Amino acid sequence: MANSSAGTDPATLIRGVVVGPDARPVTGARVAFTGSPVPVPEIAALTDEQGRFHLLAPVAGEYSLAAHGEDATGVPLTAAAVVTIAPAAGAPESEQSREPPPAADAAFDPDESVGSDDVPRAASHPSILQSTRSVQVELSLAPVPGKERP
Amino acid sequence: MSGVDLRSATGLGDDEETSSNGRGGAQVDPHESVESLEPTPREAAPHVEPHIEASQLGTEVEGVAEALGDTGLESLAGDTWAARAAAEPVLRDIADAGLPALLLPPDGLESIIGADERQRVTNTRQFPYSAIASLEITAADGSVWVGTGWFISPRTLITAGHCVYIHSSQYPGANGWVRSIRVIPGRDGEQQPFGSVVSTTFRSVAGWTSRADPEYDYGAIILPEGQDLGTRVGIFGLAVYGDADLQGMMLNVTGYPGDKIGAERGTLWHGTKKAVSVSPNKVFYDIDTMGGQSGAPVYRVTPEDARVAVAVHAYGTAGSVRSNSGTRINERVLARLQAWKA
Repeated sequence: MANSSAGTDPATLIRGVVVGPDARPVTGARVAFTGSPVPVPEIAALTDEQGRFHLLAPVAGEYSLAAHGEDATGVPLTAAAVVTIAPAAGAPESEQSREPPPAADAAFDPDESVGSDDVPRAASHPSILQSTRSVQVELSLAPVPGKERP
Repeated sequence: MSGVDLRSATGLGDDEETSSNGRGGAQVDPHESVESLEPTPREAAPHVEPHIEASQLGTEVEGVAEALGDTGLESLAGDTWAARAAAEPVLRDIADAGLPALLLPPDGLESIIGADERQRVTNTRQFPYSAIASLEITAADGSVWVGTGWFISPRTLITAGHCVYIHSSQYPGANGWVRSIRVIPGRDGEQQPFGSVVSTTFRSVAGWTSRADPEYDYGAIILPEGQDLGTRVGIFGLAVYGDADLQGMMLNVTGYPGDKIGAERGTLWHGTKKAVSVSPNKVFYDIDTMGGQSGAPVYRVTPEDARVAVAVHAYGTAGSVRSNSGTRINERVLARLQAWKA
């Protein structure tokens, strides 16, 4: 379990490493939230060659993570962790929210279609959910009972 | 597949207007709360004629999944769903997997609501499963993600906005459009019956890309010219229903969850239940899902045996929101989806 230090940004990046029973990094493990204080996207992160992944926690609160993978012989492995993101100092959790939206823009149309190939090339810009703080977590995979063989 | 007459109608009530370019006549308040709280079910909503576009079989699919009468349920592996239709949580052996269906106790897996009632799809060469794709997403920062998409035209798949435009980069300067997505339709574990195609062209809407607004969380993947996979695997129809029809409608959610391991990694899973509630931009349902199913089609089986999508699965349950949810296909969203067809 990891706890972040108090901060002012509501969004926190959960950076993690997934290791196997031999403590070595696991590549290609799927990591996703299984519990969160607010609805989160149901996309799963894949760990890289160093077993690393990251997920964005949009608000303070308790998040459950689960990792699912296989060892080199195909034996299925799983792990779970709970990460608690503390609210900013002085603010109760109920007041935590995403960053305030941009100033009113009468011309803004949320339904406007945008494309990755828009000309000029659509440039990446800081996300409204951009986080300046992060917490670390390690998930240690273990064989699933009853499934110790591939 | 029988044709379906298109009956133009608004899905959101008399005060909503849409034009051919998709720009809404109704004013949108960008400061309106985007908290996706489950709304109070509406009572006695006026009936609105649905707007339906039929699905189409692909040239290489092995028939159509059997549907169970008017319940809109899908029959998997040739078995009947009589017990399922009785709303009893009876789960059957799935022969291909060789495993008894799981009946897990609630253990904090909030997108699994109660017992895990997901069923594995084994014949992914069969429509509509052939038209659902596993997505391997490479973000701008090099991180890799798992999602789901589905065909609406020969070269266009629909998915969640957060599958094509990611707001959670580990490097703030690299947020935004993903670098590429490998599309694997009909994937069944290691099997890729229709091969795969890589896309680098994506679509979404400003409400998602600029505001990360969950009410606008949908997008599209456009395959390169000449890669008409949708013609081979089939395409989903699209439907706009009024609140009265949609609430309580039997829905199906089929996608590629990331919690499947070992021999089941990369397999397709299916769930069916009635919609719990609706809001102008969202549909809520208690169909079990897990991370990796973002972008899955939320669809209905019509009496004409068409598969028509009514939402794009996007979020799990959390806090006071006790149901999973998807971005609803209303008239505005439909206009976008139609414009993105390639």
